[in-house]
Amino acid sequence: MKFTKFFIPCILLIVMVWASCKVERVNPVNESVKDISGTWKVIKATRNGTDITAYNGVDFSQFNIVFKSGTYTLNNRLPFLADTSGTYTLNDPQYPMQITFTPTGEPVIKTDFVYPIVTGVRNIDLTFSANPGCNSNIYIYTLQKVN
Amino acid sequence: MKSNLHIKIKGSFLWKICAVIVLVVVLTCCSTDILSVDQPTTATVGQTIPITMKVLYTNTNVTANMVVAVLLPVGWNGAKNLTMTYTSPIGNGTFSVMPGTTTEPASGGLYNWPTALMKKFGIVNNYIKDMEWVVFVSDKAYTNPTTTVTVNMKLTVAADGGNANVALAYVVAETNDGLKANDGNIETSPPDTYEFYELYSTPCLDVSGSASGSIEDFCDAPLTTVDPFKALTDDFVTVNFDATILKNNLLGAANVYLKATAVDEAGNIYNGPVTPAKSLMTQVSSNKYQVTIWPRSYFNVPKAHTLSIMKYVITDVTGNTVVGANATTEPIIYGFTCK
Repeated sequence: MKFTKFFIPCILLIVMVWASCKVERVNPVNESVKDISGTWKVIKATRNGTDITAYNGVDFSQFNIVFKSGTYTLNNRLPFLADTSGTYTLNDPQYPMQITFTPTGEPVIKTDFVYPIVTGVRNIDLTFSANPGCNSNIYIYTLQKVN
Repeated sequence: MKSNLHIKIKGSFLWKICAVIVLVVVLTCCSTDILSVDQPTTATVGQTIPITMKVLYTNTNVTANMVVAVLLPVGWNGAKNLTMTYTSPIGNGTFSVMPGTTTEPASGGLYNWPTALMKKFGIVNNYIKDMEWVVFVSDKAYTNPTTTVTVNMKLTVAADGGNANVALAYVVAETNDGLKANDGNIETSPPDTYEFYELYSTPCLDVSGSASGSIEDFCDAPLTTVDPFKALTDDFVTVNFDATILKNNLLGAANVYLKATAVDEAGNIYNGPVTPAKSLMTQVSSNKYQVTIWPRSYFNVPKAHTLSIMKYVITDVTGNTVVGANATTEPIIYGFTCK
């Protein structure tokens, strides 16, 4: 019959077209774990809103912080939120918002973990009062990894 | 018919003057004129001093509360340490702290009273910015002809425990007009020109008696400043020297040096570094010099100790030309405090 001749190929066509559509599963992309291991130096420092990085007498060239396996080490110490080395944790490995420093033998110090990408490079901005310093003075150190 | 009525008004000239004065007073809406401020010139830390202010106060067309504002160091916590009452022929009462949410009428709803006062008058005759206007408002509103109001204040000075030289200032106003600009309607009696508000500045009040030794000197142009004013042994501390202030022999020097000693809580004395390079104060602009130190490292202070004071002078490279407090050779004292 004319109808069957037309109808069956039509159905077959529809079935073939339909079967060829694949349902694509979009897998969620896993946010990477933030790894701050390495040696970090201060590229910018402010005190109470004033940039003191280039002030005569201020020399950040020797000071650095080494993050490794949950510990941090301060080398060539300068005013900072901790006065001695110890351990650290990030509140969330993938979306860290807060970093907690525990200087050896001293109370914990928490501060916001600000981790912006600036000109393609990750910086860490840490806001703190010097330890031990006057808590009415607010410093911001911008750290950049050197290796 | 010729009138026989010749009435010569006795003292007609005086009556004319009186009419003019009455007319002027009637034209006056509101005005405040600070007649006098009676305030001590010295005090000791923590002492409560009396201050008496006499104000010529007028509210003819409006009903308004009286406002009295005092410029004080922030550390003195004026809202807590200042009380005010008033006496006058029209009534007696008290002042209380003006709510921070109340806007100052002439600012178009933009600022509260402390902000409006700071914008208009700043820190008046002082040099250190760490100050605030503490604003008080009367308990009652008045409509009154020109009246002398006596404002009695009790101020507990130096709540932060530090010595200070500070030039207090006062503003009197009323809540209807606030800091409205002069409209020229008010009688002037030179040297006073009074209108909706008045600013009155007093000579330097010397507050002494603190064990810390350092003086926060608001009154004098600073030959040297230490920034931040409140810092401890492990802060970055910047010493600034302006060689143009007060006659001194370092003016024009290419390099000057910080010469300092420090004392810790146990009374141990530390000297600054031997290497002159670490004490070099470079020129940041013409005749203005600066160095930033980390006191613990600069004075080599062991971790178990903290510094109480630093005493310093500015010298030339030979150490023979010395500029200290008020350009004498006496050291300037900086206290390591954090209050």
